[in-house]
Amino acid sequence: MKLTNVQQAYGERIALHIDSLEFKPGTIYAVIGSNGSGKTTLARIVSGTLKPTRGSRIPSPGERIGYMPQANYAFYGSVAKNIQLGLPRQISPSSTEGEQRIHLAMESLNLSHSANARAKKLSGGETARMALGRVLVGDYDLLVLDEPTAALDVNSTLTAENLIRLYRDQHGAAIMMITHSISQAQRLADQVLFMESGKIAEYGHPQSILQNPRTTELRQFIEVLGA
Amino acid sequence: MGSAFAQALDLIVQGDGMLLQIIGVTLRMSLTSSLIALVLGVPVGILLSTGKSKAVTALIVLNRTMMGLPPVVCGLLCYLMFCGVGPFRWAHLLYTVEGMIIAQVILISPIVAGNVEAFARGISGPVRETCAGLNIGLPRQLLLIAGECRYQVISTYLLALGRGLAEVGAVSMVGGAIAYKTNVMTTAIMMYTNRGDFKMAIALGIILVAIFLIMNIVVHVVQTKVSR
Repeated sequence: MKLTNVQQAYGERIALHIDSLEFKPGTIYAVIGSNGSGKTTLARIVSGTLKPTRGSRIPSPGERIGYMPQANYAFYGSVAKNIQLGLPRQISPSSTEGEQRIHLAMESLNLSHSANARAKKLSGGETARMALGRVLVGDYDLLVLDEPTAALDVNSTLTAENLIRLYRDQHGAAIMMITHSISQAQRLADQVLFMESGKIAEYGHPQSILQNPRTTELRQFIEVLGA
Repeated sequence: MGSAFAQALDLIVQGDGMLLQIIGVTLRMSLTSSLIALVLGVPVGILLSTGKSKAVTALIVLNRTMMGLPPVVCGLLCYLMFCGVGPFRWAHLLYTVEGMIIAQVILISPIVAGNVEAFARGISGPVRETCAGLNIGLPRQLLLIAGECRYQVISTYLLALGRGLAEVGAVSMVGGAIAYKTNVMTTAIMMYTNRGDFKMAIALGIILVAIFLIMNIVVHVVQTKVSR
């Protein structure tokens, strides 16, 4: 996946301007930045759910892209039914492969006890885990996750991080993940993108950019959120 | 007046033939028209809820206008279509229950579409974004939105049925309130009141109110289930 001279405008306001960005297989990209810096707009454009006002979004041939939006929607029906929605089209939920994937996702995310519970009745944290499970049962080459651990407690966050790493290793996928946690970016990411005013202000290996920020904005961001 | 009320209750208890015939025509017409309106209105409402273009906005405005269409105007339009010089005269629909059903479908479908559109618009954004993220195609997305609207569809149907039962302007113009053929509860109440036959008018009024009461209880139960 490659973005070239991508721009997203809402009326006069330029919400996003990316000169060039490429996602490489087997790499986790953490996108950090303050509210309104363009992170979700970037996620939507990369996932293909938003067509940029200008520029090119060029997926690799046959590239499968999955996206977990910030708002975790729970569909009518059970937790298991919701997770089934994420299965690739060619895998039936009643097939051995389908059942295994759903079982594994629910077990890994500590949702097995709620398999038959109504999804709309879940707590915020449980809904977030279900939404993560729903996207992780799919087969994607690029996975875009918009704050997947925002509603999770410490243990669930660490579990989710392990699953994301596992997904990268098993599928060789590129993963773009928006987070507000500097420590999570350090733990999980291979590359960190710091966004400011709709642009990528800093980009690089987490150790290098988070320990030696070049811009005042990133320095302030790290000071406020704490490394 | 007291004796007319007592006679009306007597008609209901005895199951008067004319009374039952009128109720039968009314239910046949209203149930059929509200079901057709549901089949037409729900997909239209869902499709309208997912669009953002100017054309869709224009269609929503048009539909909302149709929601307020006066029944007598609808009746007039249908009359002109079905009468001896109208374009659909060959179908012989004037003064028939089928013609009344068509008039009611024209009146009720926009109400169903508008109610479903208003609810579905609130959820279609997150549903479609979630579905797009999971690579779920448009037909399945629309089915999922319909599934999310299930309780609203039920309560909308009951409201549509209520509108069909209570409507008098269009059905009297298209049906002509012909005894044993197209006379429904509302038109019959008008007719018997004008004749001074209050016992039949009161009996029909009691049954109509009872039907509305039952429908509102069902709507209340459905809405309580939704809010849980």
